[in-house]
Amino acid sequence: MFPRKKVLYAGGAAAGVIAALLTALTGSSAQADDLVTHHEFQVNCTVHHRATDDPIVFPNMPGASHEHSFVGNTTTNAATTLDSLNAAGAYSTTCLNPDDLSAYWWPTMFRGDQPVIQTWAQTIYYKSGILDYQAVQPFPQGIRFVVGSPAATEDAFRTAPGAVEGWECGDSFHNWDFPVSCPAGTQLNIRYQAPSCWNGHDLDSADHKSHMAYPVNGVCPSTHPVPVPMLEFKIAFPADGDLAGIRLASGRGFSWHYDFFNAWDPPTLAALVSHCINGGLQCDSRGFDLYKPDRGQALGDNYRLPGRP
Amino acid sequence: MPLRLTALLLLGVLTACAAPATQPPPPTATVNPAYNPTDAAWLELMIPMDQQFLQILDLAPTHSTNPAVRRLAAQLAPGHRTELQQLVALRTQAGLPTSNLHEGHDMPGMMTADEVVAIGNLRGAAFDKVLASEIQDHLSQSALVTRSVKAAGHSPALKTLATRIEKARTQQLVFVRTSGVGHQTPLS
Repeated sequence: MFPRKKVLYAGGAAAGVIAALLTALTGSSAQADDLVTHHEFQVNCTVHHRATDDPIVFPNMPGASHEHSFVGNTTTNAATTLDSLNAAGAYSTTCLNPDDLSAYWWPTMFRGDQPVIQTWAQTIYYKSGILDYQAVQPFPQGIRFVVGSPAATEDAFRTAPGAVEGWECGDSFHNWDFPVSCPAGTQLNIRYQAPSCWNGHDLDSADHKSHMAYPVNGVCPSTHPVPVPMLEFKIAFPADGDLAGIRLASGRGFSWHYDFFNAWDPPTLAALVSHCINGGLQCDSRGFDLYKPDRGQALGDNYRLPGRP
Repeated sequence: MPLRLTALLLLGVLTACAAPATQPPPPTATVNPAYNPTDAAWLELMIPMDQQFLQILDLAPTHSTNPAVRRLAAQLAPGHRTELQQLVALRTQAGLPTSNLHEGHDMPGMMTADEVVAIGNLRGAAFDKVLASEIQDHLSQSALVTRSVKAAGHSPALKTLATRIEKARTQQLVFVRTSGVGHQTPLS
């Protein structure tokens, strides 16, 4: 799994070099900031509620899950469907984008019996998981999947294709369970990447995973030929000092996982994917790249498509 | 037996053995379409809930010195044993895996692994107090998810069992109220 990821990262760098070379060869319009270093936008959302619900794994059965912290759509519960997410209406979300009615959730962290409350905005990246970032397409409406596994072993978590640097705080990285302690004032962070290749027909599957696959050597496999954005949740918990009492509702640190249920307004998601991912930018939630201001922004200052009040 | 017949039979056995290898491997799990995801969620939750509950109830004869507590545990256990068998039979019929999806999780209505160890080390009134709280949690939480599957489940056989369990829970909560156990240790 590690060599595969290295190839993927190396490929990303190679793609950038090729883009730079092409720019240099084409001459006239060559500018330093045409170098493509990123192909992403981020959404920022605060935790709205906590509940022992999981509308993907345990649909219509409140109380059937370990506790989750929900961000995004404010109505998410055990009975959530695409229709219920859409019915909530624009602005019914804790994300900056009023038209992102998607639901996102992960296991709540506890210190002993007390939840570790996340009070600030969390970051969810939408990136390209493949080399050909110009081929990434928006998620279909209603697609939902689980990333990682609450039943993973420590070794499975460490070698998973979604693993980035494990749990980290201060100068401590690559922890595949919680570190023993974190320096005072630091946060306990986790980044984990989702599969970004879709089989093209199923919005869900029995295990809530097999309709999605990770790219292989930077390309979507033939069984899952449709490249969609690669989600990367970057989640921070205010846990420092002695971490002996720290656990997830799903168990040890290596039980980390998260869920996504897409209910973006399709034209808004399409605009962000096209401008930021296909366009090779490093965008904020308005589709604006601070380092390439000349490229403009996909959405208005109100985080909505132009013309929407 | 003539040699030729033996050879034919042997050939038949060999062919039968060889056949599966030439076919694609069977799918890992074929879930019976008569069971919807809510049915599956209910079975996969109720089974570990009942298993753990029976494990805790079975401690009462050796860990409690209170006759009322022992009597309550003895009243609750047999019905749960029967119920567990029926749930496992439905899980088999549904084609669901036997692994515990909730292993190691902190679940409503269940004790964590650490709490199970802790109650095993308690005796007398301290044990009774934790047991009384666990009985209340288990009965009310399992009744809640059972009401959900009655509303959103699909399999008629499963909904029949759910209806029976919901009735049993009402009766079991009456056992608790009249046992005197709840009066000694206020239940939340």
